[in-house]
Amino acid sequence: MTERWWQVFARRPNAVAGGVLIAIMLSAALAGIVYTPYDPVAIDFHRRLSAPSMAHWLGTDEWGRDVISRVLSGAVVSVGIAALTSLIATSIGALIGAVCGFYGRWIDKIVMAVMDALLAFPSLIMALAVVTVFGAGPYTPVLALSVAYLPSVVRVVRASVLGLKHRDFVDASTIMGNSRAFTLLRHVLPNTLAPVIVLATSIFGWALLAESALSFLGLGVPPPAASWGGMLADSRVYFEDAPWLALAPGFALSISLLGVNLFGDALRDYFDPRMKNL
Amino acid sequence: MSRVLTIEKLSIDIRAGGAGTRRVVNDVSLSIDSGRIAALVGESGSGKTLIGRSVMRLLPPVAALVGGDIVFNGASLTKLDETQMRSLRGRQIGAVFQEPMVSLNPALTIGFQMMEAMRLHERVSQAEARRRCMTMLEKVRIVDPEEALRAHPRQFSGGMRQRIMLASVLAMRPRLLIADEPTTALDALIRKEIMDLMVALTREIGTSVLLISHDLAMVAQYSDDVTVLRQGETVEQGSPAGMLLRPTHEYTRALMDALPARAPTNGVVRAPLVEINDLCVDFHRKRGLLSRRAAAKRAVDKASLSIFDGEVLAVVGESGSGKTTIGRTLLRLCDSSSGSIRFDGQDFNGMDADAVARFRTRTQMVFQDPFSSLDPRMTLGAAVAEGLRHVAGLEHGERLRRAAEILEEVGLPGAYVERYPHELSGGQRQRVCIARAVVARPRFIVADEPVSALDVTIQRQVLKLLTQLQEKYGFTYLFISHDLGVVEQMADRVAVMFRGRVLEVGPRNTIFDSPLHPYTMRLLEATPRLVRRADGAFELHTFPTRRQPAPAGHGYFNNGCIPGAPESVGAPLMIEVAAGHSVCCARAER
Repeated sequence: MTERWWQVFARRPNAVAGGVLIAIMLSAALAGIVYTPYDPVAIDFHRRLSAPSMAHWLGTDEWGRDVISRVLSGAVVSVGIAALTSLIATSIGALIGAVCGFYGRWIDKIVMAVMDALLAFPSLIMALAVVTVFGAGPYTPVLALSVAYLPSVVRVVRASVLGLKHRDFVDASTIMGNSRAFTLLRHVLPNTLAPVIVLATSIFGWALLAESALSFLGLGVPPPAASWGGMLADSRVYFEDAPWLALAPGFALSISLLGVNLFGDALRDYFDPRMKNL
Repeated sequence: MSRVLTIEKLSIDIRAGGAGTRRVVNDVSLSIDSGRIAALVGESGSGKTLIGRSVMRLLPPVAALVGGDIVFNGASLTKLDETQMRSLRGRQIGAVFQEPMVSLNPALTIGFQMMEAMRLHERVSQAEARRRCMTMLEKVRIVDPEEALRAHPRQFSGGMRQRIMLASVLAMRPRLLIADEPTTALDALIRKEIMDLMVALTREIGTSVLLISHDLAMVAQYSDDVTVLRQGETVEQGSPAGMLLRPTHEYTRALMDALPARAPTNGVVRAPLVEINDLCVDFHRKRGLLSRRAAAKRAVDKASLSIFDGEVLAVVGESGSGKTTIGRTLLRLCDSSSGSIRFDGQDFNGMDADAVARFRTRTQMVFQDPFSSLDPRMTLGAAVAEGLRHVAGLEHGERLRRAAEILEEVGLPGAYVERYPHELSGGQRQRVCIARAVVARPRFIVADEPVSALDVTIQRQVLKLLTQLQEKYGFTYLFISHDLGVVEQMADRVAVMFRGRVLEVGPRNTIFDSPLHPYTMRLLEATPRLVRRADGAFELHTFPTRRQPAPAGHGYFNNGCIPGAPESVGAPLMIEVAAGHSVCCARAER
């Protein structure tokens, strides 16, 4: 009997640690949706910059808003944007990459030229440009970051399709009378799943960080909505008087990134056949 | 004559997973006198490779020598320390292994690797070492030894690399050469060349050889003494003439009986199912950035063949002869450049989408590499059931039921339906591929080297399965192979190819007993065969039959397949010399 994947994962410390941290991140985002102790955007000037207490576990900010409520609702924004970006970039990228690799010829040449051009821009600069053109809003970062990460997915999938399409089972599918499109979707694409899943977790991490950077620069979700990057940006002025303003979102961001990266490493180990017998 | 190597009551254990050990070699004794060739034969798992490695004291870490003694030149190898052993390896005991592709270091030049051992063991000058290497390379017939010393392994083919290996090992003039399946990975013609070179060179130097092989015919041809092993135990020892040709021991007899032998052909002449006329297939190399002209390589060159309904037509040839390309073109996996193919009377060029779809339901293929021909993410049941996707009016459940049925028929019953390819051995995977090919009852199956990736014992079972299925369902096979032994067993008719040309076509018995084209003869000569005589004893056939003159006014067509003779200038021409037996000729020059 071969081991199921969760049994393999349970034996790996980095997978367990990553899984726990991701669970914390996701429950924070869930809490941000269903319940926060205070309204994250409610202003209370009587309680400006109050230190952590029983009433406000992580204190309040310069507008008197409850920090823990803002961290939780910021989680919804940050995690949501990262997840959407990762989903859109991988699914569209996988499709484009698969078509390029499988059909080749002129379509491959044109698309890859475009992807190379995209890849030449640093992804954050690229995202900045998109946000500048389309204006700030909750979905612009998703669009911007998806476009920025698309080329890496396209490249990875195309490369693995190029390797797969000369395998005999692809010919076998043709001989059975299957169309090219069916062969691509049924036999080739599922076999690229492993690298794509690993890449999807990486993109999730990158997008989380990039969204915070955009918000930090004031190009993310527009205020007063909470986001971790925006909170970090606002906290700079008050750092000496109210360090909790910076520590709370910073810590949330670090935990999430650490979790995603640990889990990504575990996935890579799991899918890489050379690591299997270790 | 002095004794070079004595192995006395050798036993080797392997640590099995977890606790406990398993005895893999038990009480084996053998001895080799100087200048003799002793062979160890047995199926895989018989422990023959471990015995060879134990002489080098290079057992894998899981194996341990637990009993017996190995005496080399009067000294017991088991008592030597590692330093003393190192001075023996390479200098006194040389080794050649099966995989020429991996036994040379790709990062170092041939010269460096050859001279390394020499300078390590004997304090010779660079110039002297170089001179000796060049002499050795010349002896193994490397064309430009000077150049070869500067070259890297990747610049040589598998056969050339094996010759270089041989040269570099024998340059040390060892007393003993351990040759572990030295030619198994090679084409027939190259195999013969390497074996002949090895025998000639070791004889010249006076080196004894421990030849490890599963190939009984080769052992019978080249060795002086034979030891037959079964699961680590000696079954029989003796001379090849006595023991192999007149087998008495039950196990040896079973081995000999399992040799490929001619099955009777069904002599019924039927209508042609596939007709190939003047087929050419070109491969276009990728165009460079600057040059617009595509470089084309002709893989199949004006081939004409017919495949009759219900027969097995075997196409034989070395790698690069175009045999695989013909098979792929017949299944519309490659485009032809010119010429015509008709399947069941219908021309390939005239097929519309519907006709192609119908064609697909009637043709199938079995691939060479069972590790690449199954989708790793599909269960065996799903993979086989997919073969029925285009059969009209079949429910999903019915397809799965039929898949399970056919899997059972190929010997993978019950729970195998739910398994994944990575859980199977190569032979089992090949059975799945066969099940997938036959599940929709096609008429025509291309089997491209279906057994050459498999172990000999498994080969036999898979061939038997192919024959059984053909008898039951009446398929027509195009059987592509480089192994004449397998072809002799399977084929009704044989076509011989070289560099894209069909050189000779005829009924199997004619091709094997009275071939005409010199290239066919070369192939046959390179494949020693053990053939059963009427009295039950065996005979070693190393051929050749007499060379026959070409039909009047013609010479045999030569496109490089007959070395030493001038290549034909005129156009090749298939001449039918007897009913169904054609040979490729060219008009003789005045």
